[in-house]
Amino acid sequence: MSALELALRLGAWLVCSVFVLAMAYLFHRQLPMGRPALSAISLMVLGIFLTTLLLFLAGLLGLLRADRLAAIGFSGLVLMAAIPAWRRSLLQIPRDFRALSHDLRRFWGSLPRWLRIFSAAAVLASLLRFAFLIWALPPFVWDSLTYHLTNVAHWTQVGKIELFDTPILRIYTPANYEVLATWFTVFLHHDAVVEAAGIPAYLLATTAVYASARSLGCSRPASWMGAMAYASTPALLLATTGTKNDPHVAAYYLTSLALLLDLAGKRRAVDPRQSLSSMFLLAVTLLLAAGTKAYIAHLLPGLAAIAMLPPGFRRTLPHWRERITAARQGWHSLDAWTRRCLMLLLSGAVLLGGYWNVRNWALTGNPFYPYGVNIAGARIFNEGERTARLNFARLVDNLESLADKFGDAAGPIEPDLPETTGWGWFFYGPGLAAVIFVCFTHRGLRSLAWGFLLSLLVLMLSIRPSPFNMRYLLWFPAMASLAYSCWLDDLPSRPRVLPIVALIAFGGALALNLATTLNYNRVSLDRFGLMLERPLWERQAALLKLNMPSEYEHAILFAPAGEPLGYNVGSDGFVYPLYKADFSQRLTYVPVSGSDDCGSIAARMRERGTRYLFVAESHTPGEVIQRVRDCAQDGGSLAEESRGLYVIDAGS
Amino acid sequence: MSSTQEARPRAGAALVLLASLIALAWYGQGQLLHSLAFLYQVAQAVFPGLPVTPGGP
Repeated sequence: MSALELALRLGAWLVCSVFVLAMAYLFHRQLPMGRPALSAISLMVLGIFLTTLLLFLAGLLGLLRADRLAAIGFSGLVLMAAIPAWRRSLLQIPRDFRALSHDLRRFWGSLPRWLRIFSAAAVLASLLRFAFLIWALPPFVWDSLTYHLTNVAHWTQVGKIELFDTPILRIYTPANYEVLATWFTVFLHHDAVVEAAGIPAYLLATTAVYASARSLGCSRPASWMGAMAYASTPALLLATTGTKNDPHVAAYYLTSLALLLDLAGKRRAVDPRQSLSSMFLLAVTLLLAAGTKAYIAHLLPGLAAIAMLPPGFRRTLPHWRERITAARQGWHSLDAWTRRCLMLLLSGAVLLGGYWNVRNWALTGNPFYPYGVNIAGARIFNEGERTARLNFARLVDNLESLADKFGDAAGPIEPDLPETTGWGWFFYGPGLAAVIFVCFTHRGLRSLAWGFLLSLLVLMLSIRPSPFNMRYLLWFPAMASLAYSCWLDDLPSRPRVLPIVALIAFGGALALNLATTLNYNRVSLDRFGLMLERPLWERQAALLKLNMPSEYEHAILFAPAGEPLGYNVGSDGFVYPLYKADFSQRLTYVPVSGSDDCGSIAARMRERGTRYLFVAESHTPGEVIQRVRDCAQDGGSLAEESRGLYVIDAGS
Repeated sequence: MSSTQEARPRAGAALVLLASLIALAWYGQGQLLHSLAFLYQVAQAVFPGLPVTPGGP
């Protein structure tokens, strides 16, 4: 990529970012939250939501190109400047920015000096870690290479959000995360920074923990320490730059928690506009989550319990009736233009929340395709290669699996969490001790703990027992962080040894959490060296050679760039690496079975418009590999170009 | 506040701290080597004289 092209692409990204941020700001102004932490949450949720919505609509219209998105962004900015009410609002940005800066200074000033120093060091170390890992490594996590990034690569390549022919049926699952991840590929037309797609969720989750701690009555320093502790959770850190959608679901869960705690809090005066804002954002957040991953539905009973318990069981109904009445008053206090804008925003959220399932329903008769649904033995939806079941046998299996992984003693914490929970040093050390203690002393935390436990149990009741299902629990360690915040405020300052030991344990746990995530516990120094010796634009997932056979590297090196590459992998095979980092490789799926004769394999390749067929050990079914090898050895029309790469009509 | 009332939060805090330290030691048995493995690998690259750990990453 030339310097001029890079500058133009970055310019397009900047214009579009300014447009989305300006939109988020306009809506944010209409949704006053009354507290700085909740205001920050509102701005982040709106930013994530509007970015996703813009790309989603552009994708459906086939406009996923840097130049077209820049044109949309520029036109949008001109339109905003042309509408007097919006222009007036946008002119308030400098004033609001000064207020934000004042709030941040007040927050920073409220922290003791040692905590400011520790925080600055932690933030700097975290920034450097994120920046280095995003810059140095291509994506390598299993689910990403199988389906998350396969969608991203296809959409970026063709400039359109669409389904395509592939054996990876999980491309059908709700894909709001993948739409957002496309924001990190479409402008550069490269995956160099796609791992940053988890950072917005990471920041949102951390801020939500801070806001929740404040709602529980914790001081600013204690809430901040709780938020830092959660931010250091190894499973979260690894998934954030692991191009997975679980940090987003965790962020939406914790955001909903923060908003519910604010709404359920008895101490807060009922303000109509603030009640409306919180409820509105709650709806947007949950709809965004519904279109990200279906298991948010399994977490809802826990959230409902958290909403009901803090006001007190008997007070629940009157409390929420009061809140809803206030929100209705807030709605009627808005002018007609603002109401229309907010309705439009909510319609966008409904679209993002429901599109994927409705599309699947229309195409396959099953909204949850490729997952069939089975509740207490009754089949609700048949279609699909996997089945989501709701029964107690699964609960027992999943709880046993959790018990085996509890304590993280079975192995290193890796991104797929095959042997561990990944909750890390803080959770199992200071966090867990604080949970047990604070549950006896703090009523609000006790309600929260019940809610978290209920979410966990319902999830365990329904998810498929698998070695990799700990990834659904990234939100769970937040409970220990919140308990720790509550406990810190009650920590006596005398004798001095108590706070000193507490802070050493806290700092040590966070440092060890960070240390365990420096290389994902997977990537050795020589692999880093292998990537760093290449220019940024040439770092390919297939060349990392970490978790895939050498056939992928051969395909990247030897498949001709100008021709489509045919591939055959199973339903869990890697497709993403074949697109190449700049999405230049066109792909086409060639269905082959072990019983096909050589002539029909060649005919099918021609039919699909390709001369090349890629197969790989442990990704392509063994009988297909054997068949293709036999065909090449027979000296017929199929020849082996390099390991795993076969060609027909080699001489032409 | 009576001395008993003052002593109660201290005893509670001390109990939590003691439990934290025990839990950290328990957790460290399984995770300490994994957590420090990469840093040790970096240290080995910087100081080649450091002993090689068997079974390291």
